[in-house]
Amino acid sequence: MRKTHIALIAGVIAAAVIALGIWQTTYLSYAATAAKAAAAPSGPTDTPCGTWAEQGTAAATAIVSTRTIRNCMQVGDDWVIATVGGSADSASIGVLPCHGNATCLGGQADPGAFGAWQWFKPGGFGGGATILDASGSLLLVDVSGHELTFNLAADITSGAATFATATGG
Amino acid sequence: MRRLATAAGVMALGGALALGGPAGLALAQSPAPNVTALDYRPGNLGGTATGIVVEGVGSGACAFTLASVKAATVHYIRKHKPTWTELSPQRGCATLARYKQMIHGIITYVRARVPGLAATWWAGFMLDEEPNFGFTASQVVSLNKYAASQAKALPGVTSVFAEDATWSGGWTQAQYNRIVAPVIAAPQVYNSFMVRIVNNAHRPSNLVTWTRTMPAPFNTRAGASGKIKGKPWSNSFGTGKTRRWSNRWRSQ
Repeated sequence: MRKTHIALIAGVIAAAVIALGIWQTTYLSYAATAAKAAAAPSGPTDTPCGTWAEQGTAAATAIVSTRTIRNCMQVGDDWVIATVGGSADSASIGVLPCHGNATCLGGQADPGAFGAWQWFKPGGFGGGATILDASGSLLLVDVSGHELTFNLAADITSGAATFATATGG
Repeated sequence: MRRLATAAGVMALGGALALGGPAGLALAQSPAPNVTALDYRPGNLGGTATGIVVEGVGSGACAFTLASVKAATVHYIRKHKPTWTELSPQRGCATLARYKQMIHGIITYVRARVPGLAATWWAGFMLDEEPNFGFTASQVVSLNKYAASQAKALPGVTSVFAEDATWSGGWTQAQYNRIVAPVIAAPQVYNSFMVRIVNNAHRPSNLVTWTRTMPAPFNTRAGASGKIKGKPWSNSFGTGKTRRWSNRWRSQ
């Protein structure tokens, strides 16, 4: 009888530990997701890009070389540039996170002073890109005739080797 | 005195040419545009702008569905809104032949549901065409000729607009000229390259497309249209009001 009681108590404790573990895992996962969501871009804004994005200026040339800035826009915490006129293999979407820096987000100062541009090939396609639309952290882009989505919250977190999933083309 | 005035005029002309070439003489669209059409996704039926552009983007195999583009177009026509139906033809979304079918299908759909209202409120098609979208300049000319011929057969205001962009290494001036010849030009005036292309195309009018996110002066209606010579595209859409249009692209 005593052995049964001990077994029962041990079982309850084990179940409690397992349950606590599951709860902790779930909670931590949720918390991590929530923290990530809080830091993620919240969407496109109407903040104009400064002269640093004006084709032909020294600042713009330093960013895109001989390519043309097709679109420039702020999406949440990021500045995003789409370029055209490069080689067929060009990585055409440039992203520069401001990490919450107000001056960087203001748009008039060259964001290159606050970080480095990262370049991406959405869907793995090279060549020129045009931003067709944006919603939240999701861009709808054309890259060389392919209409694709590119998620600023997910597709840039693993570096340039991670690309968006094509929705068309 | 008269010689002095003539000399001064010649010097001013020479200065303007030296500073900006022939396009440097262009002051601005005159009279200036006074209203703006604005983009809305087909799923957004709450648009309140003076003019509505239903942004169908690629459609076909891509976003958004043709059915939603048709439905939104009719919705805004019924609301008595000047309405454009926009497509961005991309090779990855549909073939050229399929885009022609889509244009025909939209016309058939609209005419079947709002034939009278469409004559007053359906501005027609806004085709966003770019060198990078996978179709050759000749194919785009073919699409525009087809769309224009379809629209020409319709009563009222319905027409075809080319919301085009090109760049260094993209379509040449001659190619751009051929592309916009059958339609009304609605160029994306986002930089000085497009200013040159548009002003050298010498179109009778332009529906200037601009966006708030590009660097000044291209981020305002006055700034972008201020770089383009000639007249803005005008249509009162039966309101009796003077409406000289611009077109603002935005992410929605």
